[in-house]
Amino acid sequence: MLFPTAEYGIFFVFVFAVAWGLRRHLRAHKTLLLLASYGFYAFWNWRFLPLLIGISLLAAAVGRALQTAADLRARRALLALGVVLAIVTLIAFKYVGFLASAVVNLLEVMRLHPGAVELPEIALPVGISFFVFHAISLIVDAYRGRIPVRVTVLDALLYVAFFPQLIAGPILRAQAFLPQLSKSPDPEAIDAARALELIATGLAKKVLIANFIAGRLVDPVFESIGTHSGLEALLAIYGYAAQIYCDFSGYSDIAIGSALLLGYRMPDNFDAPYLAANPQEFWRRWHISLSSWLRDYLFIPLGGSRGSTGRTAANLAITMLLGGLWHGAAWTFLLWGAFHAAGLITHRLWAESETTLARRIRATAGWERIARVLTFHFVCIGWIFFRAPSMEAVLEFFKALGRWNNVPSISAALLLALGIGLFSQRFPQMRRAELRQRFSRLPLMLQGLAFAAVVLLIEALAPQGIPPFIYFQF
Amino acid sequence: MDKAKATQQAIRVGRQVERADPAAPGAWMAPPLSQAELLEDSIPEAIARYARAAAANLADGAYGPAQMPRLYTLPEVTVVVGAIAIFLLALESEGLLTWARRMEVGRMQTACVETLRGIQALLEPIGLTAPRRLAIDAGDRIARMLGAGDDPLLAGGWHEPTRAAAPEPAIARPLDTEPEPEPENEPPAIQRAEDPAAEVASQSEEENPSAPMTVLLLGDSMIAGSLGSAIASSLSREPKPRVVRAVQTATGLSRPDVFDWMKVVPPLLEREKPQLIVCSFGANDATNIRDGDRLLEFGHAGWRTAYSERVAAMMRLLAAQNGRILWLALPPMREAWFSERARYLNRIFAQTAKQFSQVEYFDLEMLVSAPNGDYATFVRNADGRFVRVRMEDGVHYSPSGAKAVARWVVDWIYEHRARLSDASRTN
Repeated sequence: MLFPTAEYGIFFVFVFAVAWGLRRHLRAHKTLLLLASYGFYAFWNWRFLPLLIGISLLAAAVGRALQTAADLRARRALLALGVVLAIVTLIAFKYVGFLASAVVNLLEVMRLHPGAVELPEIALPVGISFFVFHAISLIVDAYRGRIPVRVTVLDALLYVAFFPQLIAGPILRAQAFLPQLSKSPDPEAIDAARALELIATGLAKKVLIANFIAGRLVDPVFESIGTHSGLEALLAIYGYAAQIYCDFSGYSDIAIGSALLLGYRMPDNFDAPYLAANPQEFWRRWHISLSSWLRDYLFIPLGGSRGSTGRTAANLAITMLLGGLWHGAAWTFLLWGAFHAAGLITHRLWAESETTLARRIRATAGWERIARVLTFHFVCIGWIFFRAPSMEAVLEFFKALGRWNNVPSISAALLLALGIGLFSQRFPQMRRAELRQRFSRLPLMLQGLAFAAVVLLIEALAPQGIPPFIYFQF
Repeated sequence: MDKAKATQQAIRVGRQVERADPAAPGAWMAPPLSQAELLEDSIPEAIARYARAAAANLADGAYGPAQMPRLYTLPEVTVVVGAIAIFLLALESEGLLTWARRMEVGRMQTACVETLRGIQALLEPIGLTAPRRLAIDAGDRIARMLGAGDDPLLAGGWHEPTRAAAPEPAIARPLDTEPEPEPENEPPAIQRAEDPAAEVASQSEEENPSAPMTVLLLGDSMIAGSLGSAIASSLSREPKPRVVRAVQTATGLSRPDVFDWMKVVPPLLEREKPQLIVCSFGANDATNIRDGDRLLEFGHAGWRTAYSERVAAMMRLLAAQNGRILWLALPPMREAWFSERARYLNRIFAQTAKQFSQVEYFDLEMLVSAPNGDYATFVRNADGRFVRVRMEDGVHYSPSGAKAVARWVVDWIYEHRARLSDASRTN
C-alpha cells in the first residue's frame, strides 16, 4: 500500500478509529496496530511476512535475554549472535546475487574461469533494509542498557513493523520508541495540526513535484542518456535533486504525520538538507534517521573520530561505503558512498587546516553562501551515481555533460516545480510553526474542510495521465 | 545552538509545557452552532459563517510564534479526522468512483463501485460533485498555461480520444524525441505537434518516398524504459529511422476501462504512418477481466476466448495500416506464478499472430534467461562474466538486458529492411 492512495486513506481512518477506541486496553490496542501493520505489508507481498516476523522475534528474544543477562561475556556473545544473524539475513536477501556475480567476474578477469555457476534467484523483500536496521537498533540498545523499559515480544514486533515507517522509514530507535509503546498514547496531547501539515505537504511534494519532475525530465534523460545534451543532463541532475528530496522527505512527512495522529512521535528525517554548507552538515540534515543510525551503530563502534586523522578517515570511508551499499546492491551505490566519503574526509581536512590560505578563505565575506552552493553541487554530482542505472550510464552521463549542442526549451511548469522542489526548504520553520498555530485555532470542522480542500487541489493539479489513485507495478 | 533553533526545539517538545498553558482548547474554537442553526443553514451560509468566525479569530492576533503549539484532545482530533473523511467522501466521490473502477476486477471492486455510485448519485443533484470538476478544470487550465500540457506521448489520447491535442510541454521536445535526421524533412512526431496547422503541413511532407522509415514503439513499461531507449539508439545505421515512442505504463489489453489502446491506436497510426511497429503488451494483463457483465477469471476458458479476441483485434488494427508488426513476447519473471502466466499469455500471442501475415511474434524467452530458460537476474555474457539483465523487481529489463533484447530486435529490422521499405512505398 502506498501512502498517496485511496487505499491508504481508508485503511488509516479505520486504524485510527479502532486503535483509539482500544486505547484503554493496551494489549489489544497494540495487537490491533500490529495486525494492521502486517496487513499493510501483506498488501504488497504476503510471502515475506514470515521473514518480517522472524526478524522481529529474533530481536525480541535477543533483546530480552540481553536485558536479563548479567555476565559481560554472555552479553557480548548474545550481541554478536543477534547482530550477525540480522546482517546475514540482510545479505542473503539483498546482496547474494550481486556479491556472487562480482566474485565470478573478478575470477574471469583474473582468467581463473570458475566454470558453471548458478546464482540463486532471491526476490528482494520490500523494506528489508529498514526492518533489519530496526532489529539491530533494538539489540544494540538492549546491549548498551539504553532501553528504559522491559522489552516484550509484542512491543518488539510492533516496533519493527509499525506501518508508518515499515517501508521507507524514518528508522526508529528502540530506546526512543519502546518507551512510547509501554503506555497508551496520550489522548489529551495530540499534535494534530503538525500531523495534518506534514501529511498535506508530504502529499504535495510527492504527487505534485516529485512525480511530475520524474516523468517529465529525470526519467526520460536517464533512460537514454546518450541522446541528450549537456544542458538537458544538467537540468536532469537538478531535477533529480528536487525529485529525490520531495519524494523521500514527502514520504517521511506522511509517515510522521500518520504516527502523530495515532499518538506516536517519530524523529524528524529531513531538515532543509540543501542548505547545508558542508558535507558533514548535509548528513546531519539528510535522511537523519539513517545517518544518525550509521553514526551510532557503525561509525562510533569503529572508533569514530577519536583516533588519528588516518583512522578517522578510514572509519568514515567504511561507514559511507556500507551506507552507500545499504541503498542497493549495485556498484553505483558503492561509488556514491565512496564519493560522499571522499567529500567528508576532504571537508574534515579542510576544517582542520590552519594554513593562511584556508583561514583567509574561511574568513571571506559570503564564504558561507559559496560553501552552500559548493556543497549543493557536490551532492548533485553524487546523485548522478545514485540515479544512473549502471556504471556505463554514469560514464555516459558525464560524457553528455560535455555536449553543448542544443538548448532545450523548458516549460514554465517544470521550472516552477524545480524551483519549489529545491527552494521550499528555505521556508523558515518559525513561520511554519506560526501558520500551524493559526490553523489550529480555526473551528475544527473548518480545519477538516481545509485539509479536504487541499487534497482536492493536489489531485486537481496532479499531472494527468494515469491518475494518482492507482497502483499497478508495471 | 542558535536562538531560533532552540525555540524550534522548544516547539517540537512543547507537549509538557502545553499542559500548563492556561488557555483552554475550547477558547480557540468558534462558538458551536446550535441544532436549529445547523438545520436552517444552507451549506454555503454555514461555511461563510465559519469563515467569518475564523477570520475574527485570526485577526485578534492574541498569539505569536512564542506560544507553544496547541495540542488536541482525542475528541477534537476525532472531529477533525471525521470531518476530513466526510468532506473527502463528498467532494471526491467522483474521484473515488474512478479509483474503484480501476481496482482489480472482482467482488470487492463491484461492492466499492456500487457503494460509491450510490453516494455519487446522492451528491450529484445537490451540487457537491461540482467543486471537484471545477478544481480539475482549473488545474488543467493552469497546467496548460504553464506549458505542462497533457501526456507528451499520447497527446489527447489519454483523456478522451476525441479531444483535440493540447499544446505539448516544451521540455518534451528535446528530451523525449529521438534525434531527427533531417530537420527540413521533419516528420510530425507526436511529441512535436505544436499546432494543428503545422501538423497537417508536415504530414503531407511525410509522403515523400525518400522519407526515413518510421518505427513506432508501442506498449507498457516493458518497452517504455530502457528497452525503448536501447532499440532507438541501436537503430544507428544510415538512413536512421525515425523512432516514435507511444508508451503508457500500467496498461494493457485486459482493462480497456482503465486505458483503451484500441481507441488510442487509430489516430496514432493515422498521424505517424509507421512502417514498423514494435510492441509489448501483457505485463499487466495477468488479471481478471470484465467482459460486459461477465467477470472472467484469468486462465479460464471464457477469459482465454475474450483475451484472444482482444489480442486479435489489436493485431488486426495494427496490421490494417500495411506496416509490419513485431510483437514481443514476455520474458520469464522471477515470481513463479507470474512466469507461468507470462508463458500462458505468450502462447496466446504466438497463436493469434499466426492469423496475420504481417505480425511477427518475437520469442525472447531464451534471450535474457538462464540456460534452462528460467528467470535469471544475472546472465553470463560471451566473456563468461555475469551481467545484470533484469531489474530488482524481477520483471523489467536492466539497461544491459534491454541492450541484449534490442540487439535481436534491431538485427531483425535490418534483415527485413527491404520489405519494410516496400511497405513504406505502398503507404
